[in-house]
Amino acid sequence: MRTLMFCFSLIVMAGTVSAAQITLDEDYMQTMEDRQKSLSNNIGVQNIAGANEDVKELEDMFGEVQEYYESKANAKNAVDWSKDSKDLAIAIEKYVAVKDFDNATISATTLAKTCKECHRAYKKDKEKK
Amino acid sequence: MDNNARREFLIKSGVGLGAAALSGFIPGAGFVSAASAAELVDPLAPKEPHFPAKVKTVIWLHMDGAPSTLDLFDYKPELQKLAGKPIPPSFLEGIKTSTQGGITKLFWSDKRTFKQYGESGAYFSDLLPNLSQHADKIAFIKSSVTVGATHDISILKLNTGDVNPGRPSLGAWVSYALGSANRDLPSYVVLYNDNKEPRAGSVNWSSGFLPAVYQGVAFRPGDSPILNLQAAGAWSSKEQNNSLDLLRRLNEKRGAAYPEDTELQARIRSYQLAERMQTSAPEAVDLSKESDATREAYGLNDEGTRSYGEVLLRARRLTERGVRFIQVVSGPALPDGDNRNWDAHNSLEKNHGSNAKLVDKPIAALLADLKDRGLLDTTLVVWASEFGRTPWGESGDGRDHNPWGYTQWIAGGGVKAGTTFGSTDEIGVQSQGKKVDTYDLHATVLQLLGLNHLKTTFLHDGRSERPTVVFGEVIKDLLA
Repeated sequence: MRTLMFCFSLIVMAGTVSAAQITLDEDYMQTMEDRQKSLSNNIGVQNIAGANEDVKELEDMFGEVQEYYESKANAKNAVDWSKDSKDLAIAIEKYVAVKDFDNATISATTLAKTCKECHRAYKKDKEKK
Repeated sequence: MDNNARREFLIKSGVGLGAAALSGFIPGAGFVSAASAAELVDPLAPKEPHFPAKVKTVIWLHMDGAPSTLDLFDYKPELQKLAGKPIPPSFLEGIKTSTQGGITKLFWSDKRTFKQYGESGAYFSDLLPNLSQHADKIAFIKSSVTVGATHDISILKLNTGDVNPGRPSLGAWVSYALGSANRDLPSYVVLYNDNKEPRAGSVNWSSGFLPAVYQGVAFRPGDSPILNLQAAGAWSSKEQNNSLDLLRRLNEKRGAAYPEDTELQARIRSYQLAERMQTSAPEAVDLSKESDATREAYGLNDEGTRSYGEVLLRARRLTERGVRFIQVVSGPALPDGDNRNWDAHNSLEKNHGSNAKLVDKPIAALLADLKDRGLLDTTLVVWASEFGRTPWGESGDGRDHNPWGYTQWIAGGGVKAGTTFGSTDEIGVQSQGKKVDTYDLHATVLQLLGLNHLKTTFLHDGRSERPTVVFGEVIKDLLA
């Protein structure tokens, strides 16, 4: 999980685009990561209430991320990834509702992978030897 | 409150941290409660996988230092054509190239040649004349990616799935999920051919938050792989037996008074394993009875291959004896020699000439030997590295680190042999299409062992942890 933390923490985005829009700063991404970790865990231990709380929060946040990137030039990939992520969150909510934790886990894994794809393209690296 | 009452209270109330840490999912048995986990007195008892396994043993070959797979498997005629020119910017889109060497001109050694081998027509370079003869046993993963471009961090990720210490290595997860198939040997063994432990050390075979019993046991190279295996000095076997017998009776007496004390149970078992290993381990790692032909095949008669050949021959012997996971880390051909690993920031020809020679013949011999003994169908051989190397040069005749696209391969039971999954771009900078991260490789290895990576879980600090963290996808195209 610290990989995700590391990746999220490295994402430094431009400032607020408009009053209605979010700021994709470290705090925001950290909150998303915490929610995602919590979701993965709650699915794992089959905590329906906890998973529902997490997934609803993530649906909202991915919607905000999508809106943020729609306002940017040359960020079509990010728009697509955030939309895919929101769709996955919605699918997870449906799986959890019918106690299909296997498919919820698979979707949560795909969600994590989608985050990683986006970070590969949009994070700012601080790699060193 | 006496010991028994206190433990009973903690277990029943469900707040005993140790008990909670011990609880988890047991393959084939589902979740076990904290109380019943505390009663598990034999953590290495064989456990059923989630579904029928294709392989019993994994031999995990880590090429330390990161070879240039562009100079071994991933033939790039376009790179050869563009050598000496600046890299076209389009190849760098979407990646952050912040490695130390910067981006210089594309590099191609004028000594490099590639040929196709086997019915599969897989490409191998002139550096691998022996391994190339086994082209049709191998499934290549040519779209490997990872995180980071620093050796220690990416090695940790290769082995544990995370870039920070603290998570269990893949071998520890396998040991936890399947238990031991041979109670006289460790279920997870680490082999290396250097005269010191591999870089970053035991964190790469750690059990992390799993119980310590699942960690890897490192065998040193040379004639005495396990320290202190022989009874000390003038101590006769009778004296040792008497001493151990007394110790056992005292521990059992104590254990009868405190049946919930799993730490004492674990200690008794570790004494018993050590005693059994005194008999079985020397024979398991003794190469003296191997035939001359086998010794020659593994390269034991050549200084350039002997050290690595010995550890791979040892790996085969451990495979025969049911060790579940054998992690082999490559080192220098000679303890005080140059080119201590594959990290060729300069003089790639000299470096890779030495390191490729070190592993080529022994790995080819291992594949042939496993096949001849009917073991290849139940063994998985994984050829892995922390990352690859760039197509652009460094220091004139070296290559820098490349986490964006490189080749790894698997061979053995359940593997779609003679195939290639994924590719890199025309000059070998980035993976194209579906990328295979370390989590995906781990998920695929576990699948071949009969384990669903999503259901191989352990409850730690209230969290449901799994080997692939929150990632991982089985690469079904690699499976037969």
